[in-house]
Parts: sequence; structure tokens; C-alpha cells
Amino acid sequence: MVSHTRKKTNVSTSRPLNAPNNIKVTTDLNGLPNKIKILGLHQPVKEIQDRWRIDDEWWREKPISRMYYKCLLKNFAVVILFQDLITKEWYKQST
Amino acid sequence: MKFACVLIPNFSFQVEAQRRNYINNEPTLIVTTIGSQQIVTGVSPNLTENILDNLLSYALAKAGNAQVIQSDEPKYRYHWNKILDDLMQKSPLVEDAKLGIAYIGLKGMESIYRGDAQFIAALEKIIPSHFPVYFGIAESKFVSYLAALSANNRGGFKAPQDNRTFIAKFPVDVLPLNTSTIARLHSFGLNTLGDVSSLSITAIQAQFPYDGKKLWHFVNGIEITNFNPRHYEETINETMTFVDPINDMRAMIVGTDLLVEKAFLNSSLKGRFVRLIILEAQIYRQSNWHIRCTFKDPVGSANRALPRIYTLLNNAKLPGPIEGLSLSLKCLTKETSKQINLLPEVRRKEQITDTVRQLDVVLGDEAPIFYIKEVEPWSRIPERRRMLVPVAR
Repeated sequence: MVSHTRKKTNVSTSRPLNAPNNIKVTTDLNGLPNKIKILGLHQPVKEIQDRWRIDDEWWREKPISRMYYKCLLKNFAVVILFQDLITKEWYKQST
Repeated sequence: MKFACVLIPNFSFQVEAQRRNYINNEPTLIVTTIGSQQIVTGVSPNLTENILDNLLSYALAKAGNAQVIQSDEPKYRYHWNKILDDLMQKSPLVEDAKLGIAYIGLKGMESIYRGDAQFIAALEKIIPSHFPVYFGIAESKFVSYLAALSANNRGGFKAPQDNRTFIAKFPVDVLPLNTSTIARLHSFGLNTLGDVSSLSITAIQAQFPYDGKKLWHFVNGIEITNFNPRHYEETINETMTFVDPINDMRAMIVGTDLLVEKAFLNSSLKGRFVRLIILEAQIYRQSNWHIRCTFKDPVGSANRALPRIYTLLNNAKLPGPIEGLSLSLKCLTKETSKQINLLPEVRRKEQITDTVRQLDVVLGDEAPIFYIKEVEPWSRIPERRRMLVPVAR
């Protein structure tokens, strides 16, 4: 069971739906994800089913450059991850 | 904007002393349990040692013969809220800083009261006579608090225009900062606010990275904290006291019956409806006991409210003999009648709004309910496509 975070929900402001969450990812020698830490557990990646790249808003102060991976985990869950190619951070994205 | 500070020191003890006269003459400590620690939140005036906000073990080491009373926060809050409600009759800008300290915004008061002295006199009449109360007026909240510390009992003090000399004489212990910061100030030999104000902001921030900026502004009489006036909620209250404490649920039901009937006859209800009823029982030598009764459809008469209250009372178990009962009708609706809309879409929205309001009352806070709105459905970036928008209340 997921423990209560005790955080107060801010209900008065609008927020984006499916905002990406920062996660810990271990990569192999080619820089592809091979282990993902979800809910405190390291889940090995069984297969990368798809990958695509998004480059957008390059004219803005904070451009967007992401490499997306659709991963099948060893427990047969499918997750979509991306690496921010500017900060090199990994995120999990719901769609 | 000018501020008035209303200060009732040692508020929890003052409330306890109303019910237990004997504690006025005996050394007494009021203790709150926070996690595994017991903290002293109130002391009798005959204990001269500075033991407030310290651990019970430390307090007992200083005053070993003191009797210890467990604090009853709901009861103190109830008395304090009553005072705040009364203060709001004089000015709509009242901030509840903590138990025993309130700040009042004086914007626009000059035209009504023709001077600060008259305003303070009006405030003084509101505070029940058994509470010692001190009033202070200044250009900032913190300085008005210091002015209140300089006032006589049931009197007021206006801080002089030259803030710095006035503030300088106070010890650092009056600062609304955590005890470790104050202890650290003492360890640097900075014992008065004047000692601290002689230093530059950068020097203070170098030693106090978290509180430094706030500390510097406090000691220089500059207001940087926000003024958060309290939201006024109209409530109808009815109370009754039993001659002898009762220990019978049937007697309590009869008492509740009378209170509910009386409350719904109150003229200020004016045909409006009630969404929440709180029934509170004062238990002999124990903390208050209460039940919250929420209604999905607001009720407008005692006959509709009582069956639900009976159900809750029948399932309840009283913790001890009851000395008195009080009943509050809260969350009064504005509508006097309900017209069902012919358009199904509008009706659905009304039903959602109604359910959200009901959930707010049940949860005691705003329910986290949102609509999903499409913003840029064509966007390649998933989080840009849709937004969560809070339901309008």
C-alpha cells in the first residue's frame, strides 16, 4: 500500500494533467534504460517497444528536447519514459 | 496601514482558570502532547520561571510541586473564536495570529471612531472581563505586538513614531521566531532587539540563513509578513448548562431537542438552510466531546435535522458526565428555495456544484475535485494537451 504523503492538496489552482514525474533510471552502455525505480522498487526493462524524439519551442528561453521510450518491464507493465536531453534528467510520463 | 494588536497572554491558562478557580492560587502547568513529547503551553501566574514552550520534564525540574493539566485545544479554540467573532463586529480585518494574539487592520477606522483611543475603548468592551487584555497600535504587526506588551491591563499603548528607539529596549525573546534562533542570538551576546538592529542585514543573514531576512526586518520595525484577515462565517449558536452533570443519553437527547428547536427559531436564519450542525458537550473534568452532523441536502427546520442527529447520538458513547451542551448551525446557504432547471446540462452542473459543496463540508476543507479541460489537444507534449481546472464553488 502507498503511504500517505501528508502533503496538503492545493485545490484552488489549475494544473496540467499528466505532468511528468522525475524518476531514477539506470542506463546501459548505449544510454538506453535498463532499470527503473518505481515506488521504491527497481524494475528491470524487458524490452523497449518504441522510441521517438520531440524537439520543440527551440525559440523560447527553455527549449524542449526529449527522447521518449516505451518500455515493457519484467513485470509486464508498460511505462513511457523520456530523457530531457538538455538536463539529462529522466521522467515518467502518463499520456 | 496601521495595526492594532489584541494580546491575551497565557490564554489557555485563563480559560482553564474560569472553570477551575483553585488553579489561580496553585502552581499549575498546562501541557500539550506533541508526538512523544509533552510541551508546556500554559502556566499559572505564580510560576515566575520562563518555562512556556519548554518540555514538561524541564518545567517540573524548575517547579516540581506544580500540578499538571492536559490541554484542551478545542475548548481554547472555541473561546478564542468567540472573541475573534466579536472583534469582527468592530473591524472586518481581523487576523488570527495564534491563541491569545490577534491583529486588527485599522484601515478606514478613523472615520468611524475618531481616534485610536476610542477604538481601543470599543475593543476593550468586547473582551470578557475575566481575561487580562493588552492593546497596542503601530504601523506594523510586530511593533503593535511590542506596543501591546508595553500597555497596562485592559489599556492600550501606541508605539511612538520613532520605531527604532522603542523597539531597541525589548529582549530578543519577544521575536516570533523559533526557540533555537533565539537561543543562538543569546549565545552571540545579542540580548536585545537594539543589539540586533545595529548589525547589517548581510551580517545577520550570514549567521541565520533561514530567518535572517525576517529577523532584520522585525528588529527594524519593517513589516514583511502578509496580513491575512480571517474569513467570517455566520454561525448560530445555542447553549445550555445542566444544574448537575448528567450521565444519561435520554437526558442529552431531550437537551439536544430543545437546542435544535431553539436554534432553528433564530430570526437571523430568516428561512435559510443549514448544511452542518455541530453538537458539543462539556464533559465533567475532561475535554469537550462533539459530533458533526452534515446534510447532503441542506435542512431548513428542526424536524428535518433531528432524525439524523438522533441516529448519530444513538451510535455515540459519552466519555463522562455532561455539564453543558452547545449547538452550532454552520454553513448557512444563501438560497431560500430551489428551482429545478429544465435544461439537463445545466441541471447536471448544479448537481455537481451541490455535491462538491457537500464534500467540502464533510472533509472540512476544499475537496480536490477538478474538471479536465482540453487546452492544446494537438500538442506533441502530453502535459500541454489537458488541464485540471478546479470546480467553481
